[in-house]
Amino acid sequence: MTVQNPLLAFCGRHKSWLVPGLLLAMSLLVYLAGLQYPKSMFWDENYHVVSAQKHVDGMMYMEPHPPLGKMLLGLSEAVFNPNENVDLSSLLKTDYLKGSDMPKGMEFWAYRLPSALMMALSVWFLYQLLFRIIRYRPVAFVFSLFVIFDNAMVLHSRAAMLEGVQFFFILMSIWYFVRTVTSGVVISIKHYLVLGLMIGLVTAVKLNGLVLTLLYGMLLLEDKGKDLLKGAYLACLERVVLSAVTFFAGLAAVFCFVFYLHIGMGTHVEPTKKYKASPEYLTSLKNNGGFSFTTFRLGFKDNLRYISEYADGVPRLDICKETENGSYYAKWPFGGKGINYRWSKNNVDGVTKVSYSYLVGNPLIWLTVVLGILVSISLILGRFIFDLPIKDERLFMYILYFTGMYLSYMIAIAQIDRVMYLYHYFVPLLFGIINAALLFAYVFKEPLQQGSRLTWVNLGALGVLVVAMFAYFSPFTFGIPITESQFELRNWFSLWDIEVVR
Amino acid sequence: MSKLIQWAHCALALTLEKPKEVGFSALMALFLGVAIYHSTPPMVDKVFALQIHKNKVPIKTVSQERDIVRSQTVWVDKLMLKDGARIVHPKLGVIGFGDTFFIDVESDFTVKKAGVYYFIPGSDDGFSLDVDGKRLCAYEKDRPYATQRCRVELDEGTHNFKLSYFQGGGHAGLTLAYQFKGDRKRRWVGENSRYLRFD
Repeated sequence: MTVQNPLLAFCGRHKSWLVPGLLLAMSLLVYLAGLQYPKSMFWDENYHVVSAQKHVDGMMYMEPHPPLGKMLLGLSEAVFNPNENVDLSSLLKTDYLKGSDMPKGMEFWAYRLPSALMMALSVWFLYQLLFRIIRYRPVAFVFSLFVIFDNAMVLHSRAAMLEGVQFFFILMSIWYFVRTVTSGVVISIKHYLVLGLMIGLVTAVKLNGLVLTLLYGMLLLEDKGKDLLKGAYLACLERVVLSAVTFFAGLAAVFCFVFYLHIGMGTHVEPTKKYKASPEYLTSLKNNGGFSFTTFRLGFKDNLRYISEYADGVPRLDICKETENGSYYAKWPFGGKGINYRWSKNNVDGVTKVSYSYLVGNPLIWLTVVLGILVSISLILGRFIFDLPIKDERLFMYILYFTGMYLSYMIAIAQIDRVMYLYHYFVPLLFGIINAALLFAYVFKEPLQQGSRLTWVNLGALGVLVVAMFAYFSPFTFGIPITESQFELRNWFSLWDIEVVR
Repeated sequence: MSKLIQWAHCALALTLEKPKEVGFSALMALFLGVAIYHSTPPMVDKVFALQIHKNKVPIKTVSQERDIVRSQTVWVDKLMLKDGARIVHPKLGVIGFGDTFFIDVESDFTVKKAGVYYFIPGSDDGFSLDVDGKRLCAYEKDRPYATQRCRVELDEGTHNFKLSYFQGGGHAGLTLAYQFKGDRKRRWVGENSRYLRFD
């Protein structure tokens, strides 16, 4: 009889919360530590901080993105109020606050907190959804590390930007879909409604979240797929109509409700910034107040028109422009083009060092995702073109779903004329990370079942390498000062288009 | 040797038995190899010490009075510092301060075969080249990249050269080649041959 180590026994008994707990602890540390730095705004923070402050002060404003993300940024600022003694009135007169106009002593951590915190918490959803599908905790654990230790996502989400908030809702929606499908309950209209509400939250942060409506089709396929394959179309018609109405009604309800709050709270109008608001809207705002339905109807229309006009006015990608930060979508999977969000030069002991906030992904994660997508496409083609057998129907379906979502997003993006940036790839990157985990479980199904030591070693090595790569590129993420030659050692691929500051 | 064969045999057996796992390991090893390759500082033979001086005021000629604000030393193996429109060493990457700087390089070299040699400096902007303390050739002002052919007769034994260069602004490049009269082949200064040796 063997005597088990009590610590191991404890871990074994409580692994269901210890594993995600460990992930959460790492995630919170990476995303939240030192959030007050840098002490200045960068990239779109100059827009979003201003917008968030307008929510705090109840100003009427319009913006190219739906307001939920900025409302949460503003909520955090209102709750913690670190700028209590700072005059922020200059933020209300502009849509873009220049660094030179920044009020002295202004703190940013409260604006940054919602994005960073929600991104950190979203790893819980990622782990749970992966575990629900794969059923191997170590596999779910290692691939969840991808969200914690991707340099680009960490840099971007630790700022007062919208992606961290959106990823939380995205992963929550996917988790809910997976939970519904894997829990063994009969899928009902209620599930479509809840999914619609969640995707409404995603869309109320950024409109590119509409790609998540694909989850509706997937849920329907899980619900009525077998009937549809049998050709019982009429029997499914009622369900299709009812579920579609419920799903999209839920989505629209959240979207409209967020705008209702936005319009309702924005009752003060800055005389110099009216955002082309119609006279009817402004009159109704004055006479009926923000929360009246007449004001909402008029304000909602004006907001949507503003979004549309703004999108039309965004310039196209101009690769001939020397200062162009935008990039062609086909370069994104390989990490191009990195964006130098901010830099500052310091002279330490006669040696010039530069602190960067450079948007550069963890190459191991990004290449794994690309490789995963390529292998998945070949797997799918093999099934449907060459009639190759499938060794795990369930995993294959999930691979099909997430590869489909990745490709759908990229195809949709390819149709957009306006300039786009590397961080627009984060959403498909999330799909790709999930897909990579599923593909690993699919390819190594038998070795995992047999407890192959080499497979576990491979998995462990992958996890260690992901963390090591993150650490290596962390100067770009956390602004750790580096010399020119240290920068060049991290400039791995010309496709990244990153340039040292001299 | 027998252990190596035994090890190779085991590796082959493992690959045949578990091709997917070994393939995955190989992919990770490949990535690790690429990572190490990219993360290892490039190393070249320390043949010439480039003294690079950032000037405070704009530079118009190579011989103008200098007002140095910052200096650095970079060791290179040969004087081929051009790629596109920048001062780039094939292994070390970009060299210099971007604009408004001087580069000075001075070194001894050994002539193994006496005769007529051509030094062929190429510069964007100006340069001056001295051999054994005497001005051999120069282009004082700024210009697009261009080369000159400078003739000198050298005896066997140790000699010395000094090359000064400046980059005012815009495009840049610096090269120095040599050729023995009677041999059509040009070599970069720093590349040893049966004619010259640089240590």
